Parts: sequence; C-alpha cells; structure tokens
Amino acid sequence: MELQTIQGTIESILFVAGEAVTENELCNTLEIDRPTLLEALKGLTALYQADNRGLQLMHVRDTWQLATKEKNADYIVRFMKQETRKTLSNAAMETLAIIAYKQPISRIDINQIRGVSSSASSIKILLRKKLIQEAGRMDVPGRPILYKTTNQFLQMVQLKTLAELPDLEQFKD
Amino acid sequence: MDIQINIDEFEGPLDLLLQLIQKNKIDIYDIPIFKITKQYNDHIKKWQDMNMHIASEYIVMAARLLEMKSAMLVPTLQETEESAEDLREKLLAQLLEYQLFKKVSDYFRPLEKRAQNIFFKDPEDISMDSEETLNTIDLDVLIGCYKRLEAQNEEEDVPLEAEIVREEFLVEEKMKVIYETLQGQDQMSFQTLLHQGISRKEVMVTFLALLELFKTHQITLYQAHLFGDIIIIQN
Repeated sequence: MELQTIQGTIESILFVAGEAVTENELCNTLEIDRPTLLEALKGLTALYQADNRGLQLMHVRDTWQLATKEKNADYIVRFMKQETRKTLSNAAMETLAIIAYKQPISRIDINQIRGVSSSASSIKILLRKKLIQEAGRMDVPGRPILYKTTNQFLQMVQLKTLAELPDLEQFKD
Repeated sequence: MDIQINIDEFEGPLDLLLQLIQKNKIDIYDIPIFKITKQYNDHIKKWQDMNMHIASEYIVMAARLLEMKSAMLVPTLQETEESAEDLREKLLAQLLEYQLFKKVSDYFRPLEKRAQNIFFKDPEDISMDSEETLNTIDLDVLIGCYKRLEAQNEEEDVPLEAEIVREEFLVEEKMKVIYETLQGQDQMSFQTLLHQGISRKEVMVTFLALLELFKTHQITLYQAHLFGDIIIIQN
C-alpha cells in the first residue's frame, strides 16, 4: 500500500472509531508493520497542522485519536449551543494531583495527605470522568482499593506518557 | 479580626492553615504557633457561632495545635510524650506535602481548561446484527405478540377503587350452551364461544365445559398447532 493510501485509510478508521485506537489495532487492520504505521501517522500529524484543517491527531501512549482543534472551540461551543463546561472541584483536582504522583494509592492515603476524611466523593467523580481507574487492592488488612490515572488523564494534561509528568521537586519553591 | 469566610472555601484544616500562613506572610518553616493557633481557633469559633457543620478533622487539628502550644509552655515530662519540636516537624512535613499537591493542581487547572476545548466524536455503530435478527421474525407473530401485550395492559389498568362483582358461571350451564350452539352445524371454533369483553373466569369455565363434553364423548376436539384455535366437532 502506498503511504498516502495508508494515511487516508488510517484517517477513515480513526473517524469511525471516534475513541482512541491502539497502534496494534491499526497495524493488524492495515496489515502493515509498525515503522510504516508510525511514518504514516507522523505525516498525517503534519498534514493536520495546516490552518485549513479543523482536526488534529491526539497521541497518548500507543493510542491515536481524532479530535477537533483547540482554537476552534469557541465556534464549536456556539454551534452546540452549550455555554458551560463543568470543571473539577478543588477537592477533586487535589485528589487527582495526589493520585497522579503517588499511584497506585488508596483512599486512606489520599485522605492522609489532604488532611481530611472525605476523599470518597472526589474519587467517585474522577472515576466517573474516567480520569482514574482501580489498580487492584493493597495487601493489608481491609484490602483497600488502589487507584491510578488513565490514558484520559494523560490526554487532559496533554502528555503522551506518565514519565512526562513534571518532576514533583519542580513544584517546591 | 473580622473574617467572614465560609467553611466551604477551604478544602480542610491543612488548607485553612496554609491560607492563614499565606495571609500573614509567615515563613512556613518558622510558624509562630501561638499566633496561628489563635487565628485558627477564631475561624472555628466563628463557624460554630454561625451554626456551620464543622468536619471532625478541623477539631482534630485544633487539638493538635493546642497540644503543640502546651508542649511549648511546659517541658515534656514523660518520654512517651512528643516534644513541641517533634510535633512542629510533623505538622510542617504534612503542610509541605499538601502544599506541593495544591501547586500540582494549580498546574493542572489551565491544562484542564485547554482539554475542554478539544472535542471527540462518539464511535460509529456499524453493526448490522439488529437487522438480521428482525428478518427472521414473522411479522404476524410480532403483531400477535403486541396485541396480546396490549390486551394484558388493558386488563391491568384497573381503577384504584372498584366494586368487584362475583361472577357466577357454572360448567353445567356452559356445557348446555355449547351443545345447543353446536346443533345444526358439523363443527365450530372455540373462538365463536368467546364473546367480546368476556372475563378470564368465563373463558376458563367455558373451556372446562368443553373438556367435560369431550370426556363424555359428546364432542371431538381438534387443534392444528400449539396455541391455535380449537375446532369443536359434534360426535
């Protein structure tokens, strides 16, 4: 398959998929090897950078997803007639920050750091927004559930991998 | 000091302490315990006066601050007791760690805002299963199903208050009716015995009468298929 044909096919698949598609899935569907796929995706990413394109490729870990461009948001919101978009509460954002750097972590340990006894509702919200997920249980009495961040979290903070999170030291004065 | 700050504006006692430290422009490594304890307690007192619900962790922190204060005033007597310095170190470590994550969440905020300006599409539903399943179903069966459900619903739709009249049907009477109806014709369908608006009980009694007539060899019954109409033939 020609590179351009591959790129066109990838675009079609990502459009239909809507959600993030793994590189493996793309390789298997197109029957191409990984280097070819990555070359095609690199080219496609560059094509989307043009101002006359309204979409972009989101790359998180080994997944790819089609999304609208940030700069078009005002018009999209106007078109959808939806003004308010809900942001996380301070409590939920703090909880997310702790999970991001301390994962996997239990609710009790989150409470300990926050100095409160009420992180349960924040955890529920983060789970519902798919920013965190369960990561097994801790091997201590009560076997508390552990939590870790998701690919959706990486997408939110615009990172490709967890390793790209800024060093915690950086936040010290 | 006049403070009108709602308890909801703080994420917990650590947050309250950090904000007090910030407001007083205090070096976090050199917290004046007496001053901070007083201000902290003033807040708690104010909230109590306003009848606000105060989470227990705020009270626990107040107790910790008081313990620290007393430890500073009175030299530690027992070895099991923690010195003022230990207590201060512990609180400082906790405050610093919490402050760190508050900064991380401040760093996440603008990223969250940016992410909210990016939109995704739902996956397409291109499965064709549903159509195939429908193709294998006979339309008449489907209509029959619907009608049966509809009839059932009507029956269930009873008023809250109603006078219930006891219906009296006798198998013997019904046998007589069936036998008389059957006179003059070779056969008839069970359906013709069921008039409009017939009650379930009357259908049952009619059916029992039919079985009784069959038992006494006065009629022959014939049914083409399961749940199909019953044909009654006179012997």
